[in-house]
Amino acid sequence: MTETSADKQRQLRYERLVGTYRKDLYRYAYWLNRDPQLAEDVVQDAMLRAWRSLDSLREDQAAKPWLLTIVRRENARFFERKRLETVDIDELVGAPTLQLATEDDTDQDDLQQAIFALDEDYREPLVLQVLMGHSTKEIAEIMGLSNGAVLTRLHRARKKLIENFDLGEA
Amino acid sequence: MNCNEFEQAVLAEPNADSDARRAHADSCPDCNALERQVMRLEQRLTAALSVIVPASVTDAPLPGGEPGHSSPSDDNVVSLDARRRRRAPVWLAAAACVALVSVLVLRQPQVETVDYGAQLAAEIVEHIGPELGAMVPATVAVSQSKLGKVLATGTGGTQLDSDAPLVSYAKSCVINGQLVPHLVMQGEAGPVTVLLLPGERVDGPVSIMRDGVEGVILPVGDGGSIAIIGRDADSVESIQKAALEAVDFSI
Repeated sequence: MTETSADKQRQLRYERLVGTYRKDLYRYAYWLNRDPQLAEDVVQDAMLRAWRSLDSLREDQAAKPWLLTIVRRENARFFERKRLETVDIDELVGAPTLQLATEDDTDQDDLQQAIFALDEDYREPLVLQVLMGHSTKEIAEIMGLSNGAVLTRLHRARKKLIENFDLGEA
Repeated sequence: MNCNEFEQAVLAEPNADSDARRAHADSCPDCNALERQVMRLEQRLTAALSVIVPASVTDAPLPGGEPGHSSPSDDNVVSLDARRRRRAPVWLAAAACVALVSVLVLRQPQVETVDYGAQLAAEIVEHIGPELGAMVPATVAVSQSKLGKVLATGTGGTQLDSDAPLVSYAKSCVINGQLVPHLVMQGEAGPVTVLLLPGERVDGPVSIMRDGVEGVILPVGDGGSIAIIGRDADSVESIQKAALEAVDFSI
């Protein structure tokens, strides 16, 4: 069967968009569910769904928030299917730790644990802002919240981290 | 702006500076200290959130449809539960995709390559949006110790010549999964954002365009690049030469 030009263009568009962002998708999934293997599986599911619904993406500039929304929904689907109990924070201490992008640092580990301990409602907007570089408006669209609600959650997330983590002197 | 409003603003959007916020920070020692604390947190947050992505994610061939088919049906999508029970979800799917990709490559010897420069520009555009508030005129340089720490992050480390334009802002940011220095330099025609990208190499100038700003990515040395973004073309051009000459990637 001969590949049509439209199919080829679709494939190339998909590879360009998803290839650019899949590292970010993984990190987002990881900070949502705090499980490296689950994050990997959620991203794979999300990429398949993105392929299926690629034609609904009108502008390539909107690809990143679109993909993050798909990851968010895939992550939520998993937990709906499994109906997991709330994860005991102590269980996370024994979970496989990932290599950081910087040198090993016990303070960094402590901060990661502090981020893990944040309520998901606070952790998610923080990740979208700091790691993904999204604006308040973009975060609000991804999470289905008002701008004010996003700002409140960001404020509370940082306040908790400052209260629970020793930043030391400048 | 009062202290409560200042706290709300700086904790919610640390990098969205404003005249009112600056004025309050300059006049209130407690809020000034809070802002410094929040900026320390931001730098550490960026590093803490930047977990390395496993090779099983970055190296896996992308899933996609067979040529001539519009999309995979739901029947072809293996459920997450089934994959997790088999304990071999990724490599099995990857092997199938490798076979599919091999067929595509053999049938299409002149496959169009992905534009790396455009991808990098898109990543940079996504990143700088929330941080444009840091790109403001300033006469006070960031401390040498802070600048040194920021330059030390990222692949191999980076050095700035002593003749470099004044650096008024410095933090470590994630671009394409790597920590890189994000600076604000003061040029003759205004402040510019400068991203030092020692691990990213473009073949030639790549334009950056976004509402309210424009810039360029330029190759530096053998394996790196530098992105310069300003409010207008003049601010970028006025500092471009000085910024390029000042950067040394120790790769």
